[in-house]
Amino acid sequence: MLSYLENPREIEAKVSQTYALLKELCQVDDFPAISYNARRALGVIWQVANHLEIQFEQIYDD
Amino acid sequence: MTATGYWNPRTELMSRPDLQKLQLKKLQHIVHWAYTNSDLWQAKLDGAGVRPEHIKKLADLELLPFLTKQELLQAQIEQPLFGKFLTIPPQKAVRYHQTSGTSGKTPLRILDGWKDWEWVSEVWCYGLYGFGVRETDIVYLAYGYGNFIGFWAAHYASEKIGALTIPSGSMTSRERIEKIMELGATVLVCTPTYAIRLAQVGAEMGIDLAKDSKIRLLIHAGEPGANIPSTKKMLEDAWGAKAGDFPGMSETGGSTAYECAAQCGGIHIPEDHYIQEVIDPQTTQSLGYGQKSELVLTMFGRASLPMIRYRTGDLVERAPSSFCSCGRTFDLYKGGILGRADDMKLIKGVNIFPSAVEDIIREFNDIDEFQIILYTEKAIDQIKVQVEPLPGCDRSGYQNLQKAVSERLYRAHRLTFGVEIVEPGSLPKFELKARRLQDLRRH
Ligand SMILES: [Zn+2]
Repeated sequence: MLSYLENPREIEAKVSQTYALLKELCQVDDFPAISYNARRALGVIWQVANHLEIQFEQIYDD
Repeated sequence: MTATGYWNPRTELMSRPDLQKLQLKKLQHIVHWAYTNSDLWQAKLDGAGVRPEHIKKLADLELLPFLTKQELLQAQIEQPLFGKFLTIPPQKAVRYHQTSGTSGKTPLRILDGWKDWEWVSEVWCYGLYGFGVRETDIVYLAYGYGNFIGFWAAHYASEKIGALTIPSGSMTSRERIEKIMELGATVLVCTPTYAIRLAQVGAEMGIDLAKDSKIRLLIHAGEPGANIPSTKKMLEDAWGAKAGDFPGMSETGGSTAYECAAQCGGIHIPEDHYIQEVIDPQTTQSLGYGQKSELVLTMFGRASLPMIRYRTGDLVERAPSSFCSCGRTFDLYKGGILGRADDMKLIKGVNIFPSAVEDIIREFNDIDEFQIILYTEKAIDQIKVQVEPLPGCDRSGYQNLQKAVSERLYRAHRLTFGVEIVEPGSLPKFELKARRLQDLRRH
């Protein structure tokens, strides 16, 4: 089991990595199912990154 | 370390100094965003002589000008469809909603980007989860969906929590009750007025929803009700469930405050996603705890149409987080949204709040619907209340009911109200945005 409250740095690192990876996947330009699903997921992980004060940017572009 | 019952234990339990640091960071970001992405925001801030870099501490919020709904509407009239407060090209949006545009007013058009819309439902999760909705629940949404934001975000929040989420669209009340019973719904989401209506229709169908249904939580928004003690009791009795209040508005993306499972008589402000100030609506001076004030809010998560120091017109009374025993450090509004600043009516020198009248009317179990009517007689403002008894109510009791309601209203206001009993079925029924006040005065 993972715990945020016990190991916040570990979870924050995972969220940061996921955010960055999803942002990269949004750039795939020849496979809509990859880029659009990545974008959807980025919108969700943004909420977590924002809760954890990792990300404050407003994202509207891929 | 454990923290249960909180959607976001990090911020919901955060110390107030840390919370304020977080708010400052988010404030700086949204002000910078608005300034650099909207010509009208830039002009507005330039006009007030303030630039994003001037926001160095939370108190610098007061350097920023207020924003009104009229300004937003005017911008959309000048530059259809969305106006120059919009910070993104409209094609970047994935979601359109508009304000209800009651009484023939132009609705305000609102766009959300994909991250924004996710944020709107995220904030609803604080309330749903905090009130006790879990993935094992079956959540029934009894409303017509449509352009108005209504419970759309509650729907998405319910899905996010993992509950089985059932939309009802244009079904009739009877069909909705049948579905609630058939699927064993445990949570009902609708306006308070409509929950009362459903309970009455249930009774006509021979179903006692308090006993026969599995509904355990009622999620209310859209109008006052779940915050009015006697209406809340009526709802809870009718459904055998806990009724929670989750007010919001289209402009701010839904939920602006939420009731937690401790049900302390107030609603928590999600202070990690908003700065909510309370001001004197006349002088705009900042007010403190315990004073009836207008809610002014700045939101952080939806930046397509930034709301910075937006004057909501809602009246609230702010209370410190210690007012609730749940452990959240978020401040509250005692008694929820108390009314609209422009709802307060002055009759013969007495301030009348429609919600206070409702609180009294709902003490009478025999009353189905009511209307408050303001009119002028011999150049003097008058107030009367039309009350509609339940269909099964014995007519011989009408006179006593009329007398009891009059006395109760007089005692609470020290003002004589006309009270008129009207035929069952004669007053309008509402599913969204009940309108129970008619102001027929000539001024
Ligand atoms: Zn609480």
